[in-house]
Amino acid sequence: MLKIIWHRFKKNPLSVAGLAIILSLAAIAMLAPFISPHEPTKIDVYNVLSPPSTGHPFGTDELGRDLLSRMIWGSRASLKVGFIAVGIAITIGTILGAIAGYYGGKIDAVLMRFVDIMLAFPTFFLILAVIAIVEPSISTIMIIIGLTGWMDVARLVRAEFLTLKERDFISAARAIGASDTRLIFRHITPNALSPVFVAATFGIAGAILVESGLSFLGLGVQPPEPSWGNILTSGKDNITVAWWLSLFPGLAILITVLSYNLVGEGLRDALDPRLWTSER
Amino acid sequence: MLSYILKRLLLMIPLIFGITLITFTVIHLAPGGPVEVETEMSLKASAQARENLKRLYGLDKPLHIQYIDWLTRFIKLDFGKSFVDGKKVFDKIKERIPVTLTINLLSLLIIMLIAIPIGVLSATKQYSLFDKLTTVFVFVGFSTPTFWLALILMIIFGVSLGLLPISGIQSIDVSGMSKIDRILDWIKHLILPVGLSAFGGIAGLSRYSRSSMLEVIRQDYIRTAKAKGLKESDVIIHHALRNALMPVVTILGLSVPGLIGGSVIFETIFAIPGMGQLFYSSAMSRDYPTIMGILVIGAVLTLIGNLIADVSYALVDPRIRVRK
Repeated sequence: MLKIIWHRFKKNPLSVAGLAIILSLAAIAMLAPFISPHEPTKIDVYNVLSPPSTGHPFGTDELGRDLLSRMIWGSRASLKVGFIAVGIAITIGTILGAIAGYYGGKIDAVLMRFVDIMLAFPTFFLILAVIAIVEPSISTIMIIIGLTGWMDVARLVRAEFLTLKERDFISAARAIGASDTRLIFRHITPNALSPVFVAATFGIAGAILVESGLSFLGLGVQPPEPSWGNILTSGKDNITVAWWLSLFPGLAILITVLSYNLVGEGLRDALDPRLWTSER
Repeated sequence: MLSYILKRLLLMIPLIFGITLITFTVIHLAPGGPVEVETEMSLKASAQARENLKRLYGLDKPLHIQYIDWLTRFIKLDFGKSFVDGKKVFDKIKERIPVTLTINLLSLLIIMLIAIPIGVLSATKQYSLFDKLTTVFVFVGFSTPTFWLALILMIIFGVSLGLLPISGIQSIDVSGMSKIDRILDWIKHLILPVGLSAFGGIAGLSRYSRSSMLEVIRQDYIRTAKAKGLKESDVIIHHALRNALMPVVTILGLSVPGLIGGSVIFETIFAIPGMGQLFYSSAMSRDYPTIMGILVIGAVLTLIGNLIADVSYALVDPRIRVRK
């Protein structure tokens, strides 16, 4: 199965490139202590806001800290937020979607109205309202992005469950006495997961964008801990004198998010069985 | 048609109820709650003073009573008073809504005007250079942090070229200008914020109209129209377009919460006195009555957007009206 998916996935060169970038970024984030040229928080008052040079390839910020090193360490924030937030969203979405799709009836109606209500809130407003109450930090925003991002997954899983539960292999499993829990988690969920993987990949892209936006507004990752979003805040504060503070972190966000979107697209084509037959 | 609209309106009532319930719950999860915020500045506030404040906000009552009290006042459009300046929350929001709505409606218009032709063209010329270029644009558009793009455009047009103003919605010397100059001044201030908030939507909607169009031009009735010798452009404009655009209307409705939510970022960056900026400053100062008011109004605006989308869908597609 995996082999077929990989075989189909690698036909799309852009998606493969995206995957390569994602893997290298993960390596960079993990190896940050070894590869970053300077300490990300080391202040150097003699080198404040100096433009890109050989010593500081991306220049320095308003406290003389090396931008490249801060960006290398900042990649950790994006990676963490992306994966953990989406992990939370997928867990909630899959469980609620499975329950709604499997049991149907009143349970389904109530859960889906709940989804409608959650979707009515502009997500950014909801996130901001919660951050007004709880102290903003990287863990807060991971949880909040997760708690406000599960609705699409729930709808996807529910739709898969609605068709899957009518299939013969489920009736067969039920006939030999499998419990509801066993049917849901052992028999149906594994078959319903491929759209979830695709949604998760796009979800990571979205979560990284939201994290950077929140950190930019000062509501996400708190300085001195670097994140691409909060570096852009100092880019805005020094907008007239230091273009490099705005350009490089933004490009990093753009390339990362683009890579996840490309992988998501490739994965969607690779996992769609309707597209398999057409080329055999 | 009227009964369809009525039915849709009735369906909104339980949703609005749920929206208020979630808003209330979120705010009352706050450790300490509003009283802590008001008294944390003055350490001298005695226990007695805190009790008085609690009574003033009705916080000494059980939660469900508080909710019902709040809801009844809410229905009468009494959103309470702001903790920050004591003004009525309803008036504060009313002041700010026009700017935000103007910007969002303008960007919706731009999204439609640009995205739909792009989508239709790239569908009819699938795999052409134009199609490939727009696909690239769509992916880059989806992935660009718009607040960053705002910064870059501010650097280019505002700082380096000095062509466009980078904050507010009018110049300081606006009162001395003639009417035409005033309008020009206003347009200049709005170009960047409106263009940027349209940017993400253009990517999404053009992709969507492309796939919708691709689906339609594979239908039998399109092949028939072509087979009877109609010109390609006639087939596209008269036969395919209307059917392809129907689902696009729904997506426009669904993009409302994204636009409203995005106004927080744009209005903060460009210092535009709209609802997003008010929400941001209320969140920073923990102004609970204002936060709750805007949350509910933002969600209700979304519902209205969805309603308009559904109704216009029903207008163009008779099947929806007749069903059930």
